[in-house]
Amino acid sequence: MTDIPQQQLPEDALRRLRESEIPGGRRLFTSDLTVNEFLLVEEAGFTPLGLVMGSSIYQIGLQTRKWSQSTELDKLTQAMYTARELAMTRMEEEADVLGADGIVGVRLDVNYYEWGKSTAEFIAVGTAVKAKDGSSWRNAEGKPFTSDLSGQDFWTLLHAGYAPLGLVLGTCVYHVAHRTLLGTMGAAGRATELPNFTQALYDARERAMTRMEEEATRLQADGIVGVQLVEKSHMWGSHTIEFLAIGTGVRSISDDHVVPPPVPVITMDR
Amino acid sequence: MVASAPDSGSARPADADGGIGDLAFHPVSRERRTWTSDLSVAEAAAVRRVGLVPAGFVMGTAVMQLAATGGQVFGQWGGLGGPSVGGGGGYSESYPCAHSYAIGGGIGFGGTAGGAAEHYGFNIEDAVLAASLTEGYRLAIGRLRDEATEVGAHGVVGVDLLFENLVGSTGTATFFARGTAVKHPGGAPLPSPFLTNASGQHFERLIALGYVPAGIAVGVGSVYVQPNCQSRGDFTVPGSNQQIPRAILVARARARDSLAAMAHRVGEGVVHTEWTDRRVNRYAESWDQLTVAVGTSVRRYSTEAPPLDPRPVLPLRP
Amino acid sequence: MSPALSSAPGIEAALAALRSPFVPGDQTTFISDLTVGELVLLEEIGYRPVDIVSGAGTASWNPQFTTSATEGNMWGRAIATAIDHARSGIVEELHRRRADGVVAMRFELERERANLLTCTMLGTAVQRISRGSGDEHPFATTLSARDFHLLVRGGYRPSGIVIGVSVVGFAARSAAQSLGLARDNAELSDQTTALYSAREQAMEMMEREAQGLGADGVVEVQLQERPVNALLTHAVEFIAVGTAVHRGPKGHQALAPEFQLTLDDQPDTTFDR
Repeated sequence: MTDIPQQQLPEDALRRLRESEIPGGRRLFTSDLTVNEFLLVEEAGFTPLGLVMGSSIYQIGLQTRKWSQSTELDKLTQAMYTARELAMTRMEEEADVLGADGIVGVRLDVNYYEWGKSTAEFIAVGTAVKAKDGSSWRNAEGKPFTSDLSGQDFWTLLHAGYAPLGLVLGTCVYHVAHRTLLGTMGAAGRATELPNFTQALYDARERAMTRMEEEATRLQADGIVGVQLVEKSHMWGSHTIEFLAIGTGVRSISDDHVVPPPVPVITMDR
Repeated sequence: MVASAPDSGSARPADADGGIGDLAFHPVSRERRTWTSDLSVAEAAAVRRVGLVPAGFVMGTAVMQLAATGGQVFGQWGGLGGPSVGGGGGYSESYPCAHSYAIGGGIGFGGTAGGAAEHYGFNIEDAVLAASLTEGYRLAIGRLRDEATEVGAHGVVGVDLLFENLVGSTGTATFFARGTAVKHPGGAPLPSPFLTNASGQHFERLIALGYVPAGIAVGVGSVYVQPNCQSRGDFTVPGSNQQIPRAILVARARARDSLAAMAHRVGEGVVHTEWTDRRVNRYAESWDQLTVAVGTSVRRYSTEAPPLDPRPVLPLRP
Repeated sequence: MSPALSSAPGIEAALAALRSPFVPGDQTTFISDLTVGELVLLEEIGYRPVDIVSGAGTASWNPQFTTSATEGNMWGRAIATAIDHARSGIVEELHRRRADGVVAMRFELERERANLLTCTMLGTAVQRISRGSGDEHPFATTLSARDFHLLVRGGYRPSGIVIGVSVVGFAARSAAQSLGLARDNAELSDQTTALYSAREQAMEMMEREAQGLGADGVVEVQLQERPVNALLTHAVEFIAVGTAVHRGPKGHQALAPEFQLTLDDQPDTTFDR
């Protein structure tokens, strides 16, 4: 994928981040974590520094596609990837301003507004955190780690002897061919596999997964946890689909990965 | 009103409600071979852990013609007629025109479209509407309790109170109470079964923590609002507005006061209070600001409950 | 206290209590929308319920005679005014009832007609069981009783609900775009900056309120955004709401949670709805 252009953060963002100092040299923290997530992040040895965010409004155009040909729409893939990367990069820059070691609870959202037919806003929001003991948690690219894990999962991951490295993602916008008239008629009334469709979906998913794994390799991750595979047609209609794979790259920080045996319970409340 | 208080008056409606009372008390003679209940499995288990068993699904219904200050409420909550002065309770406030337009020849209640009077507004407590709602709830709850008594129940858990226009269209409202009757096998009957809007699990916790439900309490408050120019959204007088917040706060305070007055006759505290604010449209742009509060009056019967001291746990999700 | 109160909890004792008439007047009364379990959680961190308290505020703005640059500001000010009146109303009520705070507060913001907006708040007022000497400012929080309990055990206490508002309005399309010159699959930097800045401003206003309360931080921040109204689709309002918290003198208290394996829980999705 291409390099992401470095962009200055808006003046309002820098001002907010710099003004969050409170008398006594400490800093006011903000967080969209719930109370229990917030306490668990503290429990895990991190101090929340502030809510950080980044966004990018992107004009997602169309790319000519052939009715009967299944193929990746590489310009759209590129656009969807770059817009998310821009939002994430800006969020990471905000975290940098705060001197953070990482960002937990990252959410990636796509908003569509009425005023833009083919525009979409990509937003990344998370809570910047810093290790209490002063140790560095930055990843192989020298950036703060990012993770979409909840406060609970973050604590559990650390207790299991792993550390998050970064949110890794891969995307692929794919055009799945329409069936030819002859093909539709030939298959009428029979239960039969549509190998072209199967092949197209397989191919698109594999590409998205592969790109995500490549990102993890660049971060020198041992593995990826919490992978979600999302398929969405956004504004393109039913035959053009974005396949998005996203997860948190992790590395091992301890020799044994032993979690105390959990107490099995069944809640009676629902 | 408080239903199920041992010392509260009888729930049987007098003949005043047009003679439908007798019919409503024997709606269908259901033969109860097996018990029915709207409890979930977890709720039923909680009730059984306490030592009670379900005795049947019970309900009570009352269809009422509502009255309001200045006449009936007509139509789908829309209607005719403004209020008559002095027909409400204690509270009233006037909100003169924010443009300081003078009104010639007195105040036209209800407003005349386009005239200066439309700039003039007032709030007046609508105790008549509040009283008719209170009566509807009292009838429905009383009938629910009578059904529970009939099946030999000690109480009713998970009581739901619903309020809707189901039948008829000219200012009628249907009040519906439903819940699951429960009994304590071998226990002597109570003077009147207890009622609570708490679910089975919450009922279990209530008993375990040393509290017993004494009855359901309902509080209603209503304020008729004739908006002045600013409260109608006239954009030539923007800014902060007093009339609408005052109507909301007074309606809530009246609901709170009537809830407390009833509930504290039978128990020291009210828990599980559910609040509903709604607007009932009246003539032109006027409305009734209505608040209904439903809660369970509780009594502490034991101070020996062990401390909860909850242990923090972290679920490992599948 | 009646002798029955010393019996162990159980259904027999509970039903026995209902057989004797209640004598009102010799106990402190309360009204609450919480459950009994939640009341006990409050009691264990030293609070008891007092009453239901509420606050309300309404404000309007003038959409006429304003240029698009000031439209946003006026609407933003109306939102802030309505919220502020509701909040100061509920805090005043807390003072009147000598309460220390309100928990599990319902916070609703409702548009009425095009330019009218009403904010209402309602919750259970609580009082410290052992009255401290320091007369602290009463707090209002939307945190549930359970989260309040957890927060206090974790070494913090809430200092109040904090809010930031900002509204941004802008031209639907730049000149180049309306001529069809905009590049496809490229970033729209003007719009990006406009929305980005508006979001930051809402956060900044909220943070300034928290600093004004002398808080150490803000938890459970919710950043809501929506178009201003049907007529102004090119304006977006941002509202940031959170609970400001104070760190206690001892700092964070370890909770040391224990792993638990629930056998009926579904994982929740965190992203891209």
